[in-house]
Amino acid sequence: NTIDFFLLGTRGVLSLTPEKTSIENAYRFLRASVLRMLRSISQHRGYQNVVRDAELDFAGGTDLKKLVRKLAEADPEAVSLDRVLRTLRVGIVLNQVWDLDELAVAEHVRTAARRHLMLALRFYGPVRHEDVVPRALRRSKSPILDVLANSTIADDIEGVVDHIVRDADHAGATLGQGHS
Amino acid sequence: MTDHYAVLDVPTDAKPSEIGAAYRSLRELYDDDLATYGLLDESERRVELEQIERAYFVLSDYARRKAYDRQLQAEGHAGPWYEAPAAPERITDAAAPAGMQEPAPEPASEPEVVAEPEPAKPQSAPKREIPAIPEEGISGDWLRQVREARGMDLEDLSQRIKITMTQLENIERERFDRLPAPVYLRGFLQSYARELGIDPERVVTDYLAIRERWAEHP
Repeated sequence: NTIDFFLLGTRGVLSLTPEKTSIENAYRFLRASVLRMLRSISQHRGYQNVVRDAELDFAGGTDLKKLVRKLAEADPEAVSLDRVLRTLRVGIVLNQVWDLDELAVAEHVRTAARRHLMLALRFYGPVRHEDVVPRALRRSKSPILDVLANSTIADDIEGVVDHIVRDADHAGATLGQGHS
Repeated sequence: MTDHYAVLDVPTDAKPSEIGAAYRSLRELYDDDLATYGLLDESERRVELEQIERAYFVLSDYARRKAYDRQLQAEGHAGPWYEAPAAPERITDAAAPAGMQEPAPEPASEPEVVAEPEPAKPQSAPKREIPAIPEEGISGDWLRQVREARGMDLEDLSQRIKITMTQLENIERERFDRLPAPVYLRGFLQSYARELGIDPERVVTDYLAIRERWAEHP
């Protein structure tokens, strides 16, 4: 499913808008991904009951920090789980930005994810709101960069792609290898 | 014992200014529920705020911090300790935690807001000849000259490319400390250049080179 596909990639890119529902969806997806990863590790190392019990303990809102602590107690010889979580390379793109001030939302989401989901998210950049986009999409099925090549949205998408490529180069990975 | 340094996400030898900045940034994050929506409920958000306030209360005051550091040391927590300069630096520009008895905390205030300069008065200069690119490369001032030569005022440009006038002015005046990181700035410079009919790549390359020099010696 989507989460498995996401976790298989060398990196994941999550697009969100500076709105509550979108931010909530992003956190839910990230939390589910982290849990899936922890479940898979614990299954492999034979203490899956710890994850299951912890999930029951914190029904509705698994406290990942506590869960990781429990897993570490269950298996002190395992590699540091927070280090494992850091292998999850995820970046965010802030879509539908109306004002530069909204960039603060991306920084706050990164801080919150680091503090509460133990994920070091990258920020790949903003994509500004452009009124003509929905109209252009309705008229044409061509890629947006072809239809609106000289637009602010094209500039921003180019910036995002540039950031992702440089990030991939930095990590020694290459584009096209399991992006999600 | 609560690790106040971990709560504020700062190293144990953090300068008071770093502690102040971390505090303000976290207050901004947890004061509003937008960026924690779906991650923390209201009570969890309050707990976070309380911890942050308590940590700042201790670490923002030299004497309290020193006493806390001694306590940490006694409990065997090693780490590089902050040594105050001859005249101890004290942060006084942000809120102190509610409910603390003494010493009297600073009155609660909102996170510091940097006053933005008044936007430049729209200019409707007649079109002039485009100035030649200076030998040292494209600068913010040159961009302004081109814009004015095109007879375009900041407000007009702002509406066309959807970047606030303040930020456009920051670009032209090279106020790098108020501009976003290069990866985002790039897109704004491209939009700016394209609107003015100048080579976007050249603008990006030259302008970011100036920014880089500034970053090395701010």
